[in-house]
Amino acid sequence: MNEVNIFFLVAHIFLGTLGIILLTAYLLSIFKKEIDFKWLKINSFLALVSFVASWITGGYYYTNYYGKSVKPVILKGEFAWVHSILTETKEHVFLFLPFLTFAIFAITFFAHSDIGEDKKLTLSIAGLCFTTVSTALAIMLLGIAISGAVGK
Amino acid sequence: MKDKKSILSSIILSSVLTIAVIVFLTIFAELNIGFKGWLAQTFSHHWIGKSIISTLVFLVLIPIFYVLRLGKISTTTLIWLLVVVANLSFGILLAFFFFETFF
Repeated sequence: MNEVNIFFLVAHIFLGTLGIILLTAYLLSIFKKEIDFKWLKINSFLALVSFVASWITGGYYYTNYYGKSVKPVILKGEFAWVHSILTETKEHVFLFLPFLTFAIFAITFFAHSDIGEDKKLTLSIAGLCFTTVSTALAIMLLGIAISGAVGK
Repeated sequence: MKDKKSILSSIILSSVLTIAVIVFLTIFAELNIGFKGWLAQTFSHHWIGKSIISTLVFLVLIPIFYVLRLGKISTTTLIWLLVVVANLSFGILLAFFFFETFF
């Protein structure tokens, strides 16, 4: 793998992890007694930027390197199903994340005065945040499983 | 205030439908090789095609839903709808690729 592909792969992992950390912090913040709305807005914006950047960098790695060099190795090995189930699911579910995060950003931007005050709304935002974080974590775990299947 | 609610509702509902479109594009492309080939030929890779189409769908749906004035629907209901659709979509794609591989 050349240096450009390594850079894009590392950036993809780093930015995705950053998005998970930011949204986890967001999830914990909305249950505080005194919510810092300025921080919530910055947090949700940075999470959106992280996931969009992870989408672009991951897309570059996936279309330029994975398909040509990693996929054939996995398909020749014992765990070909790892590509046909896990990679296929991962690459398409990843497309959900920017839209889920954009929704969180928009809710924070347009309904911030109700967060904390309106308990039902706060709980639904927590549900959305939890879904986004758990989806991103599942994608990360699938990535680890895919890496483990290379050359087996 | 009402205007903000309409914008927010249209963004959340656009996210819901965009995720549904991603699932549809993914499954349809797997079942219809011609469509997958068209995506790959037009956008250089089928995944890039799905990314671009889903982004366009999202951006086009926001003003459409805004014009439809969806502010009457509770924001909480729309957020839960997004949560349900996102989780179901993950399950549908995983189940689809499982069945496609083994059956």
